[in-house]
Amino acid sequence: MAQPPEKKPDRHYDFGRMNKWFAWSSLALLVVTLWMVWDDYSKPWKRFQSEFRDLERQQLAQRAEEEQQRLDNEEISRVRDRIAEEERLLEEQRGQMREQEAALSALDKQVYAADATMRTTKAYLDEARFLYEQALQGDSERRREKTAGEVEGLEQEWRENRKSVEGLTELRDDAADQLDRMRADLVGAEKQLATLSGDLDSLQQRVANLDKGLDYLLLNFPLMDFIEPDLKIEQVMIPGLFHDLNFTTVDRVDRCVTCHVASIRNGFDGEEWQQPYRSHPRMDLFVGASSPHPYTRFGCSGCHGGLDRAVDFARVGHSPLGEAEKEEWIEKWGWEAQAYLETPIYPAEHSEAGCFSCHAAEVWTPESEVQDIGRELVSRMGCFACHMIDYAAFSDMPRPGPNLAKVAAKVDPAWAYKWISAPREFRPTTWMPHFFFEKNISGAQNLERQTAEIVGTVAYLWDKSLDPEFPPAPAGDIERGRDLFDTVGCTGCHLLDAGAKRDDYFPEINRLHGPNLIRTGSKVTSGWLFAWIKDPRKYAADTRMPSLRLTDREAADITAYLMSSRDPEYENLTMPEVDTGVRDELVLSYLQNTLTIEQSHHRLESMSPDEKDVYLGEQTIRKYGCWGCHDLKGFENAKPIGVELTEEGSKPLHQFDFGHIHDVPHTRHDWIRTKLLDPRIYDEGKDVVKSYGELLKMPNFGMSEREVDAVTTTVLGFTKESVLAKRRAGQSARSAILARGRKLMTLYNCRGCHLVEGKGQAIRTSIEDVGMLPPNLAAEGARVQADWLFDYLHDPGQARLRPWLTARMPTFGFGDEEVNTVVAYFAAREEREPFLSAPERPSERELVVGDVAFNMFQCAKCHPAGPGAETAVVGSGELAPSLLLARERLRHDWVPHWIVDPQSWIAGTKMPANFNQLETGEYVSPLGSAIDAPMFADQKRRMMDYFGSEEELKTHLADAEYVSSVLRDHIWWNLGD
Amino acid sequence: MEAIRDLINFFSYPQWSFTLSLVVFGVMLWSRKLWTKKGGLLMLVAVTAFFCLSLLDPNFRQVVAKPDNVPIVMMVFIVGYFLWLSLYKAFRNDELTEAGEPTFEKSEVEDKIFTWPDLVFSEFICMVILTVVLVIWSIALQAPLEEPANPSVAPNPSKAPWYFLGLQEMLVYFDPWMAGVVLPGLIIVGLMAIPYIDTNPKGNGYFTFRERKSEIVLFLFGFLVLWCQLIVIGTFLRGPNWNFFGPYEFWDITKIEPLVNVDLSEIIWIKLLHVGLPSHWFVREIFGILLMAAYLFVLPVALSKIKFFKKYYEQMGPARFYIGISLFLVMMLLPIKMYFRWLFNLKYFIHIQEFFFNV
Repeated sequence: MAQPPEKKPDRHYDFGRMNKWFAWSSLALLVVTLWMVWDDYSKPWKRFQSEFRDLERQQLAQRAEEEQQRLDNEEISRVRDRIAEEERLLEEQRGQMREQEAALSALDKQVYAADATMRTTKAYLDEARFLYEQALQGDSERRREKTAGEVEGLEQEWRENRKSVEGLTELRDDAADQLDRMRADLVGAEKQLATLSGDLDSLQQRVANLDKGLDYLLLNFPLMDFIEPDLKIEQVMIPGLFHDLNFTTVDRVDRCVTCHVASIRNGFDGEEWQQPYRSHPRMDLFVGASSPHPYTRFGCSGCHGGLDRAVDFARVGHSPLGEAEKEEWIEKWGWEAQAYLETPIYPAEHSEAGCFSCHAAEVWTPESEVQDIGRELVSRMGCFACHMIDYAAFSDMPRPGPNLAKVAAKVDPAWAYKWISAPREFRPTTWMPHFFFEKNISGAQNLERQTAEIVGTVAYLWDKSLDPEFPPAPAGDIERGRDLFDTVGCTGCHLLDAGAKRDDYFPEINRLHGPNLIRTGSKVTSGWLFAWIKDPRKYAADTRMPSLRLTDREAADITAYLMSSRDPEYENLTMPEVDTGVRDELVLSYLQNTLTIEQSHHRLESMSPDEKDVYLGEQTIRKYGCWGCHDLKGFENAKPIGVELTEEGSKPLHQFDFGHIHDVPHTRHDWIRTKLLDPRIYDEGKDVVKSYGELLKMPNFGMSEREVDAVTTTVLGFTKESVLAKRRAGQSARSAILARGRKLMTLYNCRGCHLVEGKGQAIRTSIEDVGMLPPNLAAEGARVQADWLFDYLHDPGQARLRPWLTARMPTFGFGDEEVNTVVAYFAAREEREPFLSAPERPSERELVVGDVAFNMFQCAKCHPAGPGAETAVVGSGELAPSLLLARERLRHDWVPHWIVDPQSWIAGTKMPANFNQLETGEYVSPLGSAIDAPMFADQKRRMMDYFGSEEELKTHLADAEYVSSVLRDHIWWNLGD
Repeated sequence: MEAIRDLINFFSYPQWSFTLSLVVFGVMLWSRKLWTKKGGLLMLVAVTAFFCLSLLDPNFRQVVAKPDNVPIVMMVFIVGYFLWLSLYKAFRNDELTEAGEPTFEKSEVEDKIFTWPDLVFSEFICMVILTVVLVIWSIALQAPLEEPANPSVAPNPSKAPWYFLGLQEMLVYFDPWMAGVVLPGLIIVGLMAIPYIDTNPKGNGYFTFRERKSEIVLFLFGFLVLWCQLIVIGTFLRGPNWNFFGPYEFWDITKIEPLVNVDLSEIIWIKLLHVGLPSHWFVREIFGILLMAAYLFVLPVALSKIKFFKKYYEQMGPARFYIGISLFLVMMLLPIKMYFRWLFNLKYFIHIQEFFFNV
């Protein structure tokens, strides 16, 4: 049986101590709870927002102060005095004023009461109407009558109410007017004061809004900040720009502005504004509401990369610039590399990489700098030839290097050996990279191996090469050749400059479209050169080198000139001796890839030394993928050897092999940069574990830092799809036409001679007279007729449009498809339909006026307009195209616009502005007033036959639109017929 | 210093550490001195000193200090503490019983106390303190949340939650079918079966070692050596590609271990008999099948004849005995297989890839 409780101690524990435990633990709980709330509350982004608020307030306060000082204090005090004076005057009529005010106040009350009554009545009236309508549905006659009566009564009442309201309102307005009249002067003065200090007031208001008062504190206090805090996460949802999460895609939600508070606002870009408190540097192009990439549609991370949703500095994928910054960030923010984040924020120097996500379909991206150069470098260096890059800009490209099918006829094998060994030593600007004697293949044995490989390669090429005979070139004159070279158009694509380096031509890379022709005399035979420049397509049907339609004499002169550039070091060369042991060992190792060890030994023994060389050459070509750039017999269908780069920018970092290089930061862009600067660097320390054939093969292009940066930017942009097709650029039919045209323009280097979209005219270095430069192709699509352009591009030699030019539009031998691409490009660029119907013949009057105007403006002074060009009287640099061709060449809808305002079509054109522009923007023809001059009396008489009055004639002659169109008609029908 | 580190790294490789742990396990149960207050303190100091000194090594620190791994560090200490507490009480009780005095528990039972306030109040205080600890923990160590998963970059090593790391470690030695389904299933079934197999009432309600020697040794072997130790190995010593790394070794993702494991059939047919592998799976695997059959079906019967087991056979009766011994043998399959792997590079006893049956 249990003992009664009072006999045993009540408590097992000492409750004094238990209570103390309880007290202390509860206190600890309270403290950690507060700590938890604070920890949850104190986010760095809140600090940024709060700090920016202070800074902005400071800036506004300073502006307010400046505004205050700027204000003309004298004027303000004068206005203030006036107000005081007015008030004093009013004070004198105080009694009257008060009476008036009281009357007004009483009236106000009456109006209010009457209005309320009216509204009440109206409410009852509405109800009564409803009840009546309801009664109509029912059977009760009595009810219908009763409700109808009520409606009528209430309507009556409401009308009376309304009358009384209107009457009272009128009285009240009269009273108010009277009072206003008494105070008019005072009110005027006060208004003046408000206008004077309006800016200041609004500034002060804005400053006050940014004050951190009690309301700010309360609204942003921990646990209170759920109501309507000032400090809050700012985000924008961007449909169409997504993350690919394997089986689904998630739209981006950018929160960058939470910390980069000022980035979407203008005006925070002075020295004093540092990140994260800076405006975006190109608000006109990005972020700004009227820019092509407004913030609300494009956000930030779509272009910059990074983790859109994160708001913690360490977690959003910020990329440090260099090790020092990285250390600082780790120290300050606990920054760490995000192992699973596919695209960290692009570092500043590669920020244009982001353009590619949307602009991959375009060959040029307007306004881009680095990205475009990178793309051009990728094309010119032929990266796509070894690495598949599945974008429109790099697919269906011709091979970047020359066709080697007839190489034996062109150069000497010993020269070829020396060239392949080190192309840049012969020609420092060449795009052909160094494959051999790189630092990952050093050591005496490896040097011997490479010698054997190059000798083998040359042997293979010569074995497969055709060897047509070229008779020696006729003798030419070097000086005349030099002049021709400089003026006829060669310099649009070629240099002849022993001191030129590739980097000198950055960013105008198209200056290096064709080879720098130094030392040509030590490379080729004059017979070959003569035949080549006479007709390049005869030697290689697929060449992009056009024909300049040179005469034999011209070709001989140019040949003489080019052959005069020589270098004895590259003459009378002999092939080096090959260590046959090393060669056989290499041949054997290749044979063993497909044969057994025994079979391969047998095979080797059965091969002659020449066969061994050719076999080794074939294998070497296979190893280095030479067919990527050169058309090679035996490799017509071989696949490129490099890693595909289409999604290189999304390739996980762990798949980049940094080898034993430890001073390269582990980022994608640093890996790519380092690789491009020294393609074999990651082989360092691998000579033991890799066999000769396994060593890295990417050749060295001798790239400069700038070139590397540009290419890295472009390659970083090769990412996995992250934008819906309809949100990408270049989706319209017009964009596709533009892209095709731009690609063709780049391939054939139109910019070597012409200005296309504002860039180009490389040829200006040898043709200094601006008037002698090939034409600017701005607005070409608006200017010329599609069928004329089509014919002209097919055979530019048929018509000499600008006979005074020394440079010739070359014959490229375009096919219809290529020509159509160009024609469509120009039309699309100007948003014109390519074809238009012929204009109607105007009346006789217009033709006469046109003829007169043509003479008055002295058009023929520059434009050869008669048969032959003799009519023009200015120097050749001032000449303009012959107008005899205008009718079949130009678009009739364009010519009048051109005549009125040439500069708006082609900035810098020498066509004078003949019409005066008024302040309203309209143009006036000067002929209206000039016709009165005695010298034009005959013309005036001639025209008067067609006009009713002199007034009418003058009106017509002053009308720019009329005059320009009759000029066009004159050119069309008088000159053209 | 370097030499000591290399030595510890060397001996931490599973073949050594497992053997060592067997030795330590034996010594621990044999030496009663450890299970006194002084011994407990000594062990605590020793383990803590090892941890603290090891933390000086950057590679060790990197692994141990990962927020994910903190619970396992705590587990080491908590398991140690409760092991000490139970054995301390068990040995003390044994001494008390020997001296003819009542056990701890018995004397405690005399003291009846009230639920309110004694129990509820003290529980409440515990709750408050635990909440404080959890809040501090959650503030101080951030939850290891990372950026969104990237399908093209899997974490390497990919590890199971810490309580499953013992199972994951078993995958090194067994086919997933065994390590992932059969063995874990038998662990649960076996634990559930304990009260039905072990009907011995001794030790009910009080701690004792002497009266339940075999049962305690058996259970602790399974729990400490085969479960907790594998979790510790899986957490701290398995790095990228599930390769083994000593506690002070750098987790080099490119580490390569030669894969030279062979099946029992290859050892016998090729290495011993110098004939090729028979083509039919049954003939090929006949030795493994016979071996397993003998281990699982003949050995229990044979064991029941041995003196040590005979006692239990008689106490428990055939049904309980055979079930118990089978579960025991399946458990022992794990250390046996481990040793075969380390000694003979054995891959599988039975390897029938024709229908994915591997033991």
